[in-house]
Amino acid sequence: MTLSHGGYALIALLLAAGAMPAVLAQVPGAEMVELPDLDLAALPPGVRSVLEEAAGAETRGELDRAAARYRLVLGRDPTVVPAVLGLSRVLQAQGDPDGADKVLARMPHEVEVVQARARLLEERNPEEALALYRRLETLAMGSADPYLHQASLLASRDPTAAMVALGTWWDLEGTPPAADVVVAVALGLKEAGELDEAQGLLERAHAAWPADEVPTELLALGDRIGVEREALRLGAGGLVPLSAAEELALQAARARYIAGESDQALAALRELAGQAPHAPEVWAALGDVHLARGTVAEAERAYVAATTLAPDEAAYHARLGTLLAERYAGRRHREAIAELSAALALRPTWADLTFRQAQLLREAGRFEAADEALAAYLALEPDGPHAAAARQTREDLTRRQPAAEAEPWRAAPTASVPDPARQACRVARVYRQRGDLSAARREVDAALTLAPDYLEALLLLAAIQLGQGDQDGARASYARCLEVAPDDPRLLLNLGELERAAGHQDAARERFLGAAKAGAPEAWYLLADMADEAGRSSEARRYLQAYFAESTGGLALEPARALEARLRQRLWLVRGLVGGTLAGVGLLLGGLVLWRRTGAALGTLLAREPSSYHEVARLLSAIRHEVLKHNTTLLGTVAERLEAGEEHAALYAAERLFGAPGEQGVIARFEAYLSELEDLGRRHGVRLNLRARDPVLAPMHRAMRRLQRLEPALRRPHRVRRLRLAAELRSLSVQLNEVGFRALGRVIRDVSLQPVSGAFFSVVYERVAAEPALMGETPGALEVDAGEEEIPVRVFRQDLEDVATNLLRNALVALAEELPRAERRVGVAIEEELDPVTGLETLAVRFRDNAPRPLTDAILRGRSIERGLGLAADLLARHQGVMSVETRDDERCAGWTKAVVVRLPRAEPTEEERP
Amino acid sequence: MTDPCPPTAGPPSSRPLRVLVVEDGEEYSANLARFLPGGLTLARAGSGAEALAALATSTFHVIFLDMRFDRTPAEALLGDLAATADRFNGDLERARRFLEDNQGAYVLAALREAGCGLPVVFSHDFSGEPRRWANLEQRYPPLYYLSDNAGPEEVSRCLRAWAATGEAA
Repeated sequence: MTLSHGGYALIALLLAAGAMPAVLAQVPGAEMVELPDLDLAALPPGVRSVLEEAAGAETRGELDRAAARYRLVLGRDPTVVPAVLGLSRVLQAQGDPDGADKVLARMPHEVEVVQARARLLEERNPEEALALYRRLETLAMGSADPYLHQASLLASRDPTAAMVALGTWWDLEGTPPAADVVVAVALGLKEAGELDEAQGLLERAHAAWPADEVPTELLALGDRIGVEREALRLGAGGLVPLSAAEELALQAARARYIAGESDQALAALRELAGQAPHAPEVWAALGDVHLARGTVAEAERAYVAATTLAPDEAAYHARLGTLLAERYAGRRHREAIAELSAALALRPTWADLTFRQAQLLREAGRFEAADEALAAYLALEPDGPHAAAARQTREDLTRRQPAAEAEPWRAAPTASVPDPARQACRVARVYRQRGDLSAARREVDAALTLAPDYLEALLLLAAIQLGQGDQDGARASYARCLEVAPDDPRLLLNLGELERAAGHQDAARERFLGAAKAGAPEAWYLLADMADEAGRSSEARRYLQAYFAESTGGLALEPARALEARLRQRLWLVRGLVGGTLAGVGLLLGGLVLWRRTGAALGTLLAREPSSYHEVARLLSAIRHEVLKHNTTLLGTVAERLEAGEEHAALYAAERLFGAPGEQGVIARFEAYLSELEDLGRRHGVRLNLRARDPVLAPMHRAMRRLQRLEPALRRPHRVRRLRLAAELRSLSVQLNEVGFRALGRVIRDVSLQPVSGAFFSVVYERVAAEPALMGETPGALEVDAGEEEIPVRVFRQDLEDVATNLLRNALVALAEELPRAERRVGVAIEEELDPVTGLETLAVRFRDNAPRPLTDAILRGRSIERGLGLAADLLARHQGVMSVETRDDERCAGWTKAVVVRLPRAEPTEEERP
Repeated sequence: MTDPCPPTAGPPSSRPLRVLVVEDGEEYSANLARFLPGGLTLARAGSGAEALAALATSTFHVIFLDMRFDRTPAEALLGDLAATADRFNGDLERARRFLEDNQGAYVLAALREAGCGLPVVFSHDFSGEPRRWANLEQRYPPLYYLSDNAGPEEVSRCLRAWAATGEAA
């Protein structure tokens, strides 16, 4: 290589201008750019210097300067490989990959350059990258690297070729390739249906590692492929639809799962999977239950079965992909991305999934693909829930690295610091960056010998001492720093933290106060933290106040907020305790009495938590039926028999009421129901005290206790005064079978009557039609088909309004989306239905519309419910109601396309409720 | 509503009264057997099918019928479980509970369909369900009911009175 005279002159000029320091000073954190010695040795000294300067500038992050220096070299000799590589690196760092590519493309026959270009193009132009790697087979003959890169690139495009390339690499190197490449190729083979080849590759890789060092990814993929092969056997006959009975069984199992009975749901689904192994929906449901229970491996197997049986169902791919993404801590992101891609290929408008896909791609380091996915999401939902995050992420992904300042910022050099000291300090910094603390210490000591007050060196010394575990030394160094710069807030903070760590609380507090006054708001937080530790909450609150008044953010913000919340909570507790302490003694003494007088009655639970009503009613009905009806109703008769001298009646009663020894008698059953009611109250956040405070159950409990006390007498009636016993039994019979029985009935019927009429729904309709999203979109009035009579049901008014609101809104939205306004119709029809067998009457309300899109019972039953129908179904179920769909084929739906039918039991008013 | 069991509904029969008790447990049968005065013969059937079988082989004067059969196995319940589940969006559990809670009505329907015209006395309080009672009474006469908390003496008295109406009819 030669330089022209002009080139040397330029270099000489640069040298004279001091633009080329002889020694590199490294930017902390920057990676040192190393120039290969061989290349350097071949270069003329002037060129070498410029090249070294370019490398130094690049290391320091001075990208423009580095680019200029590299160009200078290439301007003189375009074949200087380090300059080509360097310039391309700098251009990439500046966000100009095209420019970098052009630079590299100038040297198509240099191995290193071709390698660099191939790596650059892997994501941008994989075909070209592949061609370059193939060229490298010749250019770098004997090197295995090109084959590894080819395998990586071809893994998803041509997995068979990838496997061949990987095999060549393996044969050349003799050691197994990196797990991620093996996984990528195996995954590609699996996706291409070549499960045998994939498994063979994994087994070869598995065998190459020591038993306990096999990478988890390999093991997981091997398991997965094994499962898929098994699933293929299941899917060999294709998916088989469920029979009607199986469908019912599936719905019942789902209902159990939703009701929280996961054991029963799991058992039912397993049984169903055995009966109907080719039904993907069964496997999907089984996967859901397993996932909820935390048995991830079983969930994965079930989802794999579902996707194999129904490869065209996006939902199953989405479930599997989400599991792989979320339950393997990122180790199977590659496979997760593949599954989500499969789902999105089937349902490309699935916005949420698109966003999730973008997140996974970003986490997997595939930034360009992540950006594309985010763009796709924004195209689908420009105002969606993730839109803001998507835009921010796109901005961050495409953000260019800022060009470095022409002259990097430096502290003004201390006039009194001699150059050798500065140089030694810089060398010490480089050694410290490289981890050689001993060498760094030698250099910095040399610097401080020359300039004892050199602040930069003192700081570096403290950092080195901390790195060496010499906290005392670091404290001393910081103290020396403070002598030079007494008001430097960072020094004060650092020193304060060291003092605190050493247990010198007073010294630490003094430093933090100094730092805070010198303008470091974080110091206020640290003072608050120290005060909190010492139990001085008021002081901590004052310091926190100061912190929030001065801080604009930073790492201490969140901890400060958390501390503030803790202090606030503590303040409330203290106030409560202070108030309670005075009564504390009295509380202790009267504890039992107070306990008996606290707690709520059942009415409180029903008032606070109306949703508990039906569960309460169920338990009270059980008491009426199981305890009273079947057992205590004989008390009056037993009393009569005793009065007539028939002692055996008492023995019979004892058997029925108290059971044989070891059996649970009726009183125990009653108490169990009371406990169940109190548990129900606890679940709803209400502490019930039914045995002492409830106006219905407390007297019954007392009566049961009286009855319990009669057990010895009833078992040995010959030893007691029969007439007295009979009188007691009569009294108890009245208390339980008349008073208690009727009182329980009143509570059970206590949900107020709600009369239902056309007018009720018209009012709801007007409200829904006036919602902003629907204004101007509704057809005229609601078409009401109902008699004059109001039909009563027992349901909370608010619940019925919510059901009607959701169903009407659903109909109106569907109409707005599917029909021109002039053609839209929505109506409500009300009628009574009679069950001829049971005599029970039902209110049936039909919410009808003429929107073309169908709605079926299967959609309702499958719980893939949109637009509030799920809420309506839940509210109805709470009141023993049901929801179903009638289509235009049903004669009751004549003139409409569909009707959502709500059925509720007709209520019968009590005497008090009747007009 | 008028008292469903009038103190006198014609002269009480003096001949032995045969009562078929249809219940899922044996509390009624045991209590009635223990405390009913003489002249009453009881037989028990645990389900609708057993009741029909008993009626085919023996003579009874009145049927005492429980409403709730929550201890009967699902397969022994009368009523179409799948069709009932359809009414509850495919919820088999809810359907089963409905059949249990109203099984007495299904038994009554089966008895009438089989041609049994005996008086049937429900052990269920219909005082809070007058409309329902009216529907059932109209469809399945002769029909009566006693409250859940009726004691053996009251049961005996009413059974005799209603058995007499059946004879009179």
